[in-house]
Amino acid sequence: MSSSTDTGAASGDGMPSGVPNKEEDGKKEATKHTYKTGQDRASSGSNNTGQRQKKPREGEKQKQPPLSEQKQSASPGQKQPQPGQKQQQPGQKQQQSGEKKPSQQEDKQAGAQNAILKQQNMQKKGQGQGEGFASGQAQADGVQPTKSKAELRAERRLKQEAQRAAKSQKKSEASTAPASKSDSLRVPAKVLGDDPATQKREAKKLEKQNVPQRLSVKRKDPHFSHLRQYERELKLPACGTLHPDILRLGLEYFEGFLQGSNARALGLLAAFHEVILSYSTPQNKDLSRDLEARIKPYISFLDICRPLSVSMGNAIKFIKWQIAHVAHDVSDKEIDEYVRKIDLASSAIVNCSKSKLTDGDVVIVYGCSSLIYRILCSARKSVNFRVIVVDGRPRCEGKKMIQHMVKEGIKCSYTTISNVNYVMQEATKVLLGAHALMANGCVKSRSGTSLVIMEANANNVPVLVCCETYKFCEKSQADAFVFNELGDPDSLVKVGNRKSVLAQCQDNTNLFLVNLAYDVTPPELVSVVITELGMIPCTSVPVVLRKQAFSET
Amino acid sequence: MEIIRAEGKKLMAADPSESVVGNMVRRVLKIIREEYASGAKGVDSTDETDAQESLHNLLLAEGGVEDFSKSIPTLKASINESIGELLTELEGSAENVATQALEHIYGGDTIMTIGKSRTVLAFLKNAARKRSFNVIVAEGFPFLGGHDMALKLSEANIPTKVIPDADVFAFMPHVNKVIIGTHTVMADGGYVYISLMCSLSTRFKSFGVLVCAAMYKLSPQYFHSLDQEGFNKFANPQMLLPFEEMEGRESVEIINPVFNYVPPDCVTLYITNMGSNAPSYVYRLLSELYHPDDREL
Repeated sequence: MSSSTDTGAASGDGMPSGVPNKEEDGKKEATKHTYKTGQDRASSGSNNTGQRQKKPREGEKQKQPPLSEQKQSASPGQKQPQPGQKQQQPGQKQQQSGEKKPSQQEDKQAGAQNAILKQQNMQKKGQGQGEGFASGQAQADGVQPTKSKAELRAERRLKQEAQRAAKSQKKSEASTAPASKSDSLRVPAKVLGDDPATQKREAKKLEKQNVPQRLSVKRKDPHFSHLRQYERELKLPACGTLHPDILRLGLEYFEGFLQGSNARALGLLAAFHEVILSYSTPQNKDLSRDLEARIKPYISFLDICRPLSVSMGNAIKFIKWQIAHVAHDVSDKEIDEYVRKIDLASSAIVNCSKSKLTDGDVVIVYGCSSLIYRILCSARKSVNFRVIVVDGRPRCEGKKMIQHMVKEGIKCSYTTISNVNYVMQEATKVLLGAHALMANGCVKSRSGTSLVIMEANANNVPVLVCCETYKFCEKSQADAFVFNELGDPDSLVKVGNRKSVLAQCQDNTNLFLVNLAYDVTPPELVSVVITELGMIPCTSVPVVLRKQAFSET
Repeated sequence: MEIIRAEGKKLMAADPSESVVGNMVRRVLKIIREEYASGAKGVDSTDETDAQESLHNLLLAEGGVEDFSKSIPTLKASINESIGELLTELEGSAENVATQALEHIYGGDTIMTIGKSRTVLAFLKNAARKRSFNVIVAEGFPFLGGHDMALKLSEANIPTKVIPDADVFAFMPHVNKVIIGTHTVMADGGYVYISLMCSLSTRFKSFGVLVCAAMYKLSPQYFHSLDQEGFNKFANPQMLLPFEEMEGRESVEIINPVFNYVPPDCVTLYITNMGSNAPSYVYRLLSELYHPDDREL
């Protein structure tokens, strides 16, 4: 996967998607769920180039400096490319955004601005001091560039409030309805982080929707330049338009309070439930159009906080479909129905998989999956088994799982992914959750799952993957790199309360820390997938998908 | 020899999993045997006894001062000399392994390694003088030697990525070589290492798994992969799950083995300081290195 900025190549790389593309017209999305590959690519290609030709100037302007330049700017030759500088960037951007505003705003805004500027000044002062010291000292400072979480949050809240005030004023001046561009680009912009044109378009869209953008990181790993780079700083929105529930949800995603694709999807549904409850159709406007336009920025905001999971994508698709097909009255009941379906699905899976556990089983689980937890809890009542929780750094979700197990009184052991070979010899079953099942049968799950599965195969241990059908995805993926999420690279550096040797070398140009969220397991390694429809092989995913599409229309 | 043997046993008892100690004892024993044999030949050239024979005698006639006194003048010096040679060989072994680097790495390679190994570090650094390639380092929890390794590699101007152990699979398709160090090479050609690599390499047969191991790591022991307790040792469980982080921890069994046996079919090549060999040839190297009588100390 070399990073190509060439549009044609990039569109060839990406997969044709049936998942809602944010740039698409809502109507199209609702009616058409699947696209044919050939057309798809062709149209995306032509469209892309068309876009480019239209405004080559701007594209050029926005284009990020090529890699070599970036490297130069961060090269050791320069004076202290320290974390201090890194911090400066958000500050500067804030300033810019702050400067742009006053043209439209008044006293209230000024106050807010002052607050922001004050913060910046403080930050800068800190930096000034840091840079004033000898380089050794600066490095030592650099070890602790991030503030404590609470501080960060407080800071953000302050900013957010100020900006919200500003926003509401702005809104009263001119109620801007985020116009939806009818741009039928098929390659998800998600995987085109290396294409400046797409990036620019994304940025523009976000601006239009009044959703804050993430700052682009200076140094990108060439392997992953197509993915969105992780960033510790989230510039919180000028978001008068954002619903408070959405805002909270976004922050929860961002801080990692809400993890696991089920939990995230349910959180999303709950939030949208609130949104729809509090929504009333403005006069002389069409409900479906208006609501659709209303939730679009919400979705982009959530995506900015943390890239949407497949389950969330499907849930959003469902909501949009419902909105488009609702005549006049808003039906929050439909969402409840969807939530209930998810819940029912998982209890069906629990029942189904219980039959697969027998007395004396040694079950290996990886990480913490809500579904697996439910299965184990309910199976405990009738079956006597032992659990080995395998865990992987840096997320260490297994600790949560262990706590659950202890609470439930289930006999359990704990080990890390590197020792999975050792524990696999005594295991009789491997029970895993999934993030999504791709159309080609691949299992996408938290990174490390495929290692466990492979190890199980080497030891002839059956692998049971549990997954609700709403997490099935129309996309195919054969490679873990194309669609993935980059986690916080700094989390690799933290070892318990200590920091490892790598802490001091964040600006070493030869060193990249990579922290992938997901990996992809080929279907032939998985014995069976347990869904609410029963036990199926991985390769039946497209069948289920087709059936679902039928029942929907 | 008895003394050495006894001392060796003591040392090995201290940590049975460190087979290197035993290997060295064996090497020294072999040296004594050889030197005595050549000494015996030299001193009484009329005595045409087989070397093995005389050694056998030596063994039996442990108390016999006569046997020793006969050969002492040359023997002690030559033994010392040989041990000196052995020492220099050990010291130079990493470099010797490293000098072969260019035979195995080409420009644009993507190499994965795991944890920290001085031999591998020297190997990669050596190759980096001439060729440019990428290295992916899995961090090797809980010891996290990978961090140290990555730091040193990046200081040597090698583009390096650090990944958590869990991401190893995701990165596999992009790797064309795995180069790792080892703790011990077993007599059947399998090796013992900090976990994980084993079946990965079996699955992705398309690339080579090179194991850098100096000769002194070759051990005449056999182990079966199911008998992991035979050679393993367990590290502090605190490393995995800090005590203060959990209530009710006493009911949880925390498994933290240090080593892992990797069967020989997962290895393409052993790169030793005497050249590179296939795993199937390890037995032959062993018989050259150690005396058959010393297998069991």
